[in-house]
Amino acid sequence: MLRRFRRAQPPELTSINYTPEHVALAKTIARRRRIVSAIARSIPLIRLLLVSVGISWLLALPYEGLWKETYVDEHAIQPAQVTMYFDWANVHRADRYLDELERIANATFEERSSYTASTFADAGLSSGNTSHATFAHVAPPRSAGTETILVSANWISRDGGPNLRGVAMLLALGDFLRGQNHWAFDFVLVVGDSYLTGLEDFMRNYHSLFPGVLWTALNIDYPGHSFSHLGLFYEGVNGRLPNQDVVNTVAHVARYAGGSPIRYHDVDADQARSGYLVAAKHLLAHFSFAALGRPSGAHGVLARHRIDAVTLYCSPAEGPHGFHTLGRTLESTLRSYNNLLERLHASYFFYLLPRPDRFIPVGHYLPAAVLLGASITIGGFDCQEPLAGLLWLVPAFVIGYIGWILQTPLVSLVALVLPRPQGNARHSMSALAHLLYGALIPTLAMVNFPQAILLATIGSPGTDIIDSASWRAEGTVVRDR
Amino acid sequence: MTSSGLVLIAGVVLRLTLFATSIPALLERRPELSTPLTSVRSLKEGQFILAQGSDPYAGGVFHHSPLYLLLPAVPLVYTLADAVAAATLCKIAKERKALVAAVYLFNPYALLSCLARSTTTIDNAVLIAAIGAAGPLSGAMLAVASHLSLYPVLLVAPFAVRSRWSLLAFAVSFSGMTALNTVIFGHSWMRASWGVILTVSDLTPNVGMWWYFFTEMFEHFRSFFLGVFQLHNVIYVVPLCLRLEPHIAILVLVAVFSTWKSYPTLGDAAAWAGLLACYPDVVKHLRHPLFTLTVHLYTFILLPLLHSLWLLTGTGNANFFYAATMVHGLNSSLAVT
Repeated sequence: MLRRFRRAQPPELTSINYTPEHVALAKTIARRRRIVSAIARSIPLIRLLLVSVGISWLLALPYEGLWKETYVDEHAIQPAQVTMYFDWANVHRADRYLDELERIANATFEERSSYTASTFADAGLSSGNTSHATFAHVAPPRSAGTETILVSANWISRDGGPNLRGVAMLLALGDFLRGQNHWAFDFVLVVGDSYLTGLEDFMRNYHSLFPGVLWTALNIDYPGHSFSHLGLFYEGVNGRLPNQDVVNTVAHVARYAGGSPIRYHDVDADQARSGYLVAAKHLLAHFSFAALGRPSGAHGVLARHRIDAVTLYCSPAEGPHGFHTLGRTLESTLRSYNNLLERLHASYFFYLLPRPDRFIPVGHYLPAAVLLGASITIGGFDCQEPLAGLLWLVPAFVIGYIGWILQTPLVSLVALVLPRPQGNARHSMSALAHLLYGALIPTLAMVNFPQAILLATIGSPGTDIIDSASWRAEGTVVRDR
Repeated sequence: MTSSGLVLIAGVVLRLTLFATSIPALLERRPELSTPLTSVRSLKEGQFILAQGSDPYAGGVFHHSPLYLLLPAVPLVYTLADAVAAATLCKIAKERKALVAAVYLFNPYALLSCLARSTTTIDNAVLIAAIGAAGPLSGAMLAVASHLSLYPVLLVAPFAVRSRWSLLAFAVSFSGMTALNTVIFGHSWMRASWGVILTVSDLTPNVGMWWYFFTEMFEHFRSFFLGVFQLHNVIYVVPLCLRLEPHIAILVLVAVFSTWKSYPTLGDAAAWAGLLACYPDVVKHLRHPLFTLTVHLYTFILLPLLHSLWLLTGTGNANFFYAATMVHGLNSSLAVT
């Protein structure tokens, strides 16, 4: 495309008798040509500038000036505004359940499952099994049964150990909820086998078991003896985030109703240390989950079903908190969920959380990805033979597609033995890959910012000098998404 | 065999192969590719109602032209329509015919709307055939095209400049078809097909900018803005016919109404992109070719993404999709200028 400007020669001003209009036009063309060639010459500089601004923007994310204070957007939620009924008698029950659970901790899933199912049944709940999960259904008298809240605790904690206290808490919660009449939602309590599979299996069967729509959910993860902080894990599969109101509600309730300080991802946000480093740690923890599309807790499998959920992780410690704090936090959070008249819907799904009580809104972090994408796009503007480049891209896409079907990135090794484009074709293919990549990164950043940044870091540095083989590999990355 | 013939065969084979996969079923419902006026699902509905002996226009779901009731909505017809369009484009182009055919047949917009069996594909084929034909035949073809999607009626003026006889042929066949349809179906079809195009009563989201605008509109301003929006398409006709040669005027007008018509699809852009490829000297004078192409790439990703954010994951809302259609519309407008 740039070639077009280079080729167009302005008319010779002195040769023939041109009219003033011609002269003016010729001057305009010459001026435009000068501008275009000046821009074309400085393209590497512009790209460098965009990349450096983009990277500085990324590095500035942990800086406080870009943050905002969190607030609860949905007024119906009213976090921590209710009288709580969860008390020491319920804690005592949870302790008794725990004794039983510790006895059968190493039993088969069938044995554990029959214990939890019969315990739920003893509490007066209808309970049942799927092949990898036990569930109980609480149907409060005032609930129409059209909407349901899900609370889950899986046998395995996110740190690999048994989640016995989490399950005990859930059993006690079943017993507790059964006796109350102020709920407007049904509850489904799920004990899933292992870490993710049980809940995943239950969700696949959910609609053959229950009619109620699930809007919100909580997952309990309590591996230790006591806990000092409640850690909130919010990343779902494929970098899907729950509505920020869920995170804010749980954080607010934990602090003011439960009385326990909270952390995100169990990252220590001690005031004494530098704010920048603490925020960077938070963001890195978030990136490590979302960039690869991994869920950070068992609640992550719910994201696929459009359910806003978080995992409450009780950071193991000597104290001071236990079932009492956790139970009151759960109760008060569920009461907030219970107030909802519609699904959480405000566009409050795009955020980064640099520390408790602060968030980075989408408008403050997206420009970083847009700048990086723009830099890559500009790198693709000088495309001499788009057709040849396109033809060379086809094998890259085919390899990527095969890799996607087989679910293995190893297929891209084939690219090493394929013939490579030379000269102009190679240059054009590289340009087209730049254009494609440049379009991909800012758009991907809207749904999964960390992943877009990861791809941009793989894709942008020194792309012009990398051998064409790596382009094919990148085509694979694009398709593997 | 000429190279353009090879391209045609490749395009046809590609389409028929893809029709054998499960892709078309996924595309049929895409709002980017078919509107209520061009969707194959409502076309089948209308044909079914007719086969049951009822008036398809009575129910309010069928907005296609009566001519489509005769069309068998099978993949072969759509593939042939694209092949005819590409062959006509080859005829219009003076040089690099194979490239022109390839630009049309392998344009993702044309390919996808063919696979989605959107009737945009047929509209495009008839329109391009009308532009490629000469003399009275072109007028008659234009009459069919106008019957199918109404907006080609704006091309009457440049066609008349090209050949007086085509004007006569247009008048005769257009009124003939209208009369025939009215005899068969009564008056109901006119309100259901052309009426919807003119009054924009169906606000199903599409890639145009009308649906959102008229969803938000206060009722008492509606008719005023309807007039403004529709007039916007019409005002270009006279100046373009006065200033430009007829074939360039036709090109620009096709671009104008494929961008600003009331129910545009991505396939509409394919028709004018194909026509544009026939005139390399016009391509040379486009203002921002590179920029618009790149933004087309962006919107091509953004439109389905933001649509799913709005309706599937529920994390966005209608404004998201509208923003994408805005970018698409502004970019198409930029391409026209």
